[in-house]
Amino acid sequence: MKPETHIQSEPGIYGPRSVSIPAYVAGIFLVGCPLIVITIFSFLQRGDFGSGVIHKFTLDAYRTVFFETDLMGVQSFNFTYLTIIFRSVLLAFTVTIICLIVGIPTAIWIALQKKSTQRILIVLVTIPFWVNVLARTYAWMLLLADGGLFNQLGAPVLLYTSWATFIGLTYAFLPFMVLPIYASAEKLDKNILEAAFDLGASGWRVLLRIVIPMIKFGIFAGVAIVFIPALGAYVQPALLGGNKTMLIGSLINDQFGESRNWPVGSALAVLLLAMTGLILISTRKRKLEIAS
Amino acid sequence: MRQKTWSVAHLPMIRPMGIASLIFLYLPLLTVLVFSFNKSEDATVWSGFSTRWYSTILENSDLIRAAKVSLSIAIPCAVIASLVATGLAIGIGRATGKLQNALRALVNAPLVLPEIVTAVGTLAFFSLVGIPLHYSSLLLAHVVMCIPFAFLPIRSRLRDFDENIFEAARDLGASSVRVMTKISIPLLIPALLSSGLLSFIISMDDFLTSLFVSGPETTTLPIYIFGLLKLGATPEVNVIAALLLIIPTLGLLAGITWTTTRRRSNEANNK
Repeated sequence: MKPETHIQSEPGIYGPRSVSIPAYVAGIFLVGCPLIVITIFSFLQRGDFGSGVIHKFTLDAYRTVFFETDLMGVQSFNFTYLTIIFRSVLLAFTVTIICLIVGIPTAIWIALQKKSTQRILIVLVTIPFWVNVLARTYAWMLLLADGGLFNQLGAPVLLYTSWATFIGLTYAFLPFMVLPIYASAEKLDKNILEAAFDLGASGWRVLLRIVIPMIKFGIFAGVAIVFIPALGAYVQPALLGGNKTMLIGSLINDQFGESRNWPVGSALAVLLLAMTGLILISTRKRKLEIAS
Repeated sequence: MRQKTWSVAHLPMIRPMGIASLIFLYLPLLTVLVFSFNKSEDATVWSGFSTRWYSTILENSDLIRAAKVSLSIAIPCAVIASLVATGLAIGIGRATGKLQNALRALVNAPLVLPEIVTAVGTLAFFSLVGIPLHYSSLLLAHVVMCIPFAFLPIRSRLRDFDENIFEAARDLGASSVRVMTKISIPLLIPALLSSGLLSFIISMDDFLTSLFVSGPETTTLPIYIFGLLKLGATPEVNVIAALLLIIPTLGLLAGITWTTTRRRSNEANNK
């Protein structure tokens, strides 16, 4: 018989409830407040000298992102920022697709090994994730540079092109895709796959009609945790792409650094935040549809 | 007995893709490792085995200073983040109230938000309330970033325990403080160690948040290395990258071995 569960759902079963307060304070003041502050900053005027803002309401920051005003005072769409945002979305999207194409089979492959082999393979997938992102990015600088290993083998020099950024991001986020998919593929009942084969289904049919639908949760989780950081990436575009093609991460960085336009930087961060929210909501909504 | 007719090989693309992605993951890391032992002055051309570049980095005082800054942040950060995360896990229990869920989501938000957003947000917030960018601002930012990661092992360990232990203690008249100090915390010690290790690595590795929130005197190791990397490949950077690869890997493997032997001995004891 199952024990009654009403007491278990109470907070404070493991100790006094008040010990959560430091975490709440940290969450409210150091996560919540910063998000509110950049939202407010995005509606303020740019500071006259150097960094900062003037506390006066204006929509200038958003106007700068979307429109440009010519000498006659006529406003038209400004495609510079929009192109950068679109390019970032496209890059993050491509990285996510490639991570899916490589990550799904890898996760399934690992999940269908013996338990002991699975453990070793998961550690192998996890290790690159623990290596400093700068070291991992540098590894690709070494491979893709002019006179680098791939170049010595006759490949074209990809360093400081968008291709290098793309490879670096795919490399950085592949483990993010494999791990959640593995977590759901691990629960696959192999007997079902075997039954499908016995009944004459082809390999592709089993993969597409049985395996993939059963690991949907993992796939949605993987998409969210690859797409979001890829969208705001800064390190790989800066080191591998040589910052030649602007992306939203480097643009935000510039507005808070060299360009010293905090309101525009904040407005871009708010847009990035909004896109993140959309991705999280849409991947969660899909979950509910399947569950119901 | 029925003969097993089915294997992974029946699924198309699975095995070749799996093997290919392991090669993809390890080829760059192995390259860095091999080239850190290169004798040549040229970072990318192999000319023979040597450990000469390893000795040069010990003389790099900027690097050592940056490493000290990083350690002076990462160690207190690991301790504070694990303690705060333990408090969160213990206090929140299995509560599913709206307010608790909202607060927990807020604390965990750094896990899902793009780091650049939280980094510039923190910078803007610090400048608004007038917190100078120095050691303590950097430490605060790191702690907040590490709490959600530190929370994961603690919460999963708490969920593994039999609830009846805690209920029995309460029924026998133990106060909630006593339950925490006599039961919850002792049981959580292994999870606290993983939380601490996790937070330590995340703090040591962090680049983006540190870039925005650190002052001129708090140049962390990743910020210093980023500066070097912008200049391109050199034999010295090969060695630094190799060390960044070797040290966490060894730490991680040691951690895994420790937990598996522990689990095995626990299982043996229980039998």
